[in-house]
Amino acid sequence: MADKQVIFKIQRFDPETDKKPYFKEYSVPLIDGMTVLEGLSYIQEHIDGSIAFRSSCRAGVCGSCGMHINGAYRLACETQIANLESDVITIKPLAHMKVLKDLIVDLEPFWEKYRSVKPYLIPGDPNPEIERLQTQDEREDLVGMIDCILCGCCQAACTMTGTDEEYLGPAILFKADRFAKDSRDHALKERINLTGGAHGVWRCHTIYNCQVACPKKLDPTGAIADLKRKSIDRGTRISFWGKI
Amino acid sequence: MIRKLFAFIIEIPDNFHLEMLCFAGQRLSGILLALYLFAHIFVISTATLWGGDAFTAVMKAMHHPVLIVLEILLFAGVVAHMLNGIRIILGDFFALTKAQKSMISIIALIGFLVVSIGGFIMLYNFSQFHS
Amino acid sequence: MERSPFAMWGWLLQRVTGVLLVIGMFVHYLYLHFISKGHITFEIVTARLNSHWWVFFDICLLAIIIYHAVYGLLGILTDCNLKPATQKTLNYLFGIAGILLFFYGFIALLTFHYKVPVI
Repeated sequence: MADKQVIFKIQRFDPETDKKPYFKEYSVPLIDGMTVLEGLSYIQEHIDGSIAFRSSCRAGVCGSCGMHINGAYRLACETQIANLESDVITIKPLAHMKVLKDLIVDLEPFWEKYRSVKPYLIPGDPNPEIERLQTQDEREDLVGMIDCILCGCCQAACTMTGTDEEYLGPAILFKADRFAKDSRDHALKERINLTGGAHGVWRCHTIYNCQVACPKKLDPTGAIADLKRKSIDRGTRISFWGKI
Repeated sequence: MIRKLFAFIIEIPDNFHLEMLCFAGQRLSGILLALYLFAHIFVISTATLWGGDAFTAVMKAMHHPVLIVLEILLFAGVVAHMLNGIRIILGDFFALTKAQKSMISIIALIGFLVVSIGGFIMLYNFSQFHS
Repeated sequence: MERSPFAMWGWLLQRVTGVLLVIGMFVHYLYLHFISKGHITFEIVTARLNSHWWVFFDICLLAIIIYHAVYGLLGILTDCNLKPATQKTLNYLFGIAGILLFFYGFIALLTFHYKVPVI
C-alpha cells in the first residue's frame, strides 16, 4: 500500500544551534486515511527523532497540535493529508509567538493573557442549594461559545497580535465573551474593564482572520463584536451620565 | 517597526483569503486616500495663497486625460473603502459577523456597478467638455 | 488592563464619521463630479459657496474627513504597540496636526465664500 510518498516540508529551529529557522524536507509513505499528525509521528519515529511538536489527544479535543499547514492554521490531527490535495505539505509553527523548538511555541504569554481576563464563572451571590439553573433561551446564548479548545490558531492568524504583543487576541476575548454572555455570571462590569482597554477589544479591526482560521468553526470575531457593543453600551452611559 | 507597519501586507501569504485581502485593501486605500486628502486641501487653498486666477489655472491644468483616469481610480478607491467599511460596521454593530462572506460578494457586486457607472459618467463628462 | 474611554470614543467616532462620510461623499461626488460639467473655475465655486448651506456642508465634511483620516493614520501607528510616552506624543501631534489642517481648509473655504482671501 505504501507506494505513494508525500513530502513534509517542516520549519526547523533549535535555539541552541540555529540562528534562523530553516525548512527541512522528509519523505513519508502515504497510508489511506493518514492525518498530518500521523505523518509527523512517522517522521519522529522512523526518520528524524529530533523533530519537536506538541500533540496529545489525536481527536481534535485537546488543542495541542494547532499549526500552519499549507497556507492555513489547522489542527494537525484533524487534517487529512488526502484533503490537502498536494504532494508537498509545508508546516510552520503558530505565528506571533516565540518558537522554542521546531513546531513548539512559547504559550506562556498566551496563558498569562488568558488568566488576566478571569476565565471562570463569577456568580456574585452565595452558592444555592441546588445547581444554578438556566432557561433554555439563556443556554442558547452559549451555543458555539463553550466549544473553544484554546488551540491558538485564531491567535496566530490575527494580524493584530503580531503588531501589538499586548493585545489580548481573539482566543482570549472569545473566552471573556463566553462568560460575559453567561446568565449565571454577574461580573459583566469587571469583564468590560478587563477587556475594554487600548490593548483589548479596540485593537480588533474586524479582519475576520480568526473566524476563517478557527478549526472548530467558531466565531471569535462575533464574540469580540459582542464585547465591543457591551463596552460601548456601558462606556457611553458612563461618559454621558457619570458612574452608573 | 517597519515589519509591524507593513504586517498587513507581509502576512497576506500566511492568511491567504478574501477577508485578509479586504483588510489589506482597506489599510492601503485608507493611507492613499488620506494622502490624497492633504493634497486636495492644498490644491483648493491655491485660491487663498495666490488668488482666484491661480485656482482657475490649476483647475484647468487638472483637466487632463491622464488625470481623469487617476480620478476614476480614486473614485474606485473611495467606493471600495466605503463599501468595505460598511461591511465592517454591519458585522460589528448588528451581529452579522457570520454573514460576512456573503457580504463580500454583495459589496463586490455593488462596487463593480457603482464604479463602472460612475466612471462612465466621469469619462462622458470629460469627453463632452474637453476643449 | 483598565477600560479606556479614549480608545473607545476614538474607535466609535471613527465608525460614526465613516457612516457620515458615506452620505457626505455621496453628495460631494454627485454634485461636483456627476452633475457639474466642464472644468471648474474660481467663479463656479464662489457661486456655489455663496449659499450658506453649501458652506455649512463643506465645513462639516472637512471636519469629519479630517478626523477620519487623522485617526485612521494614528490607528495604524497605535497598532504597533509603541512605548506609552511615544504614543502620547503621537496622540498630541496628530491631534494638533488635525486641528491645524482643519483651520487651513476652513480659511481656504471662506476665500470662496467672501470671494477674496480672508487673510
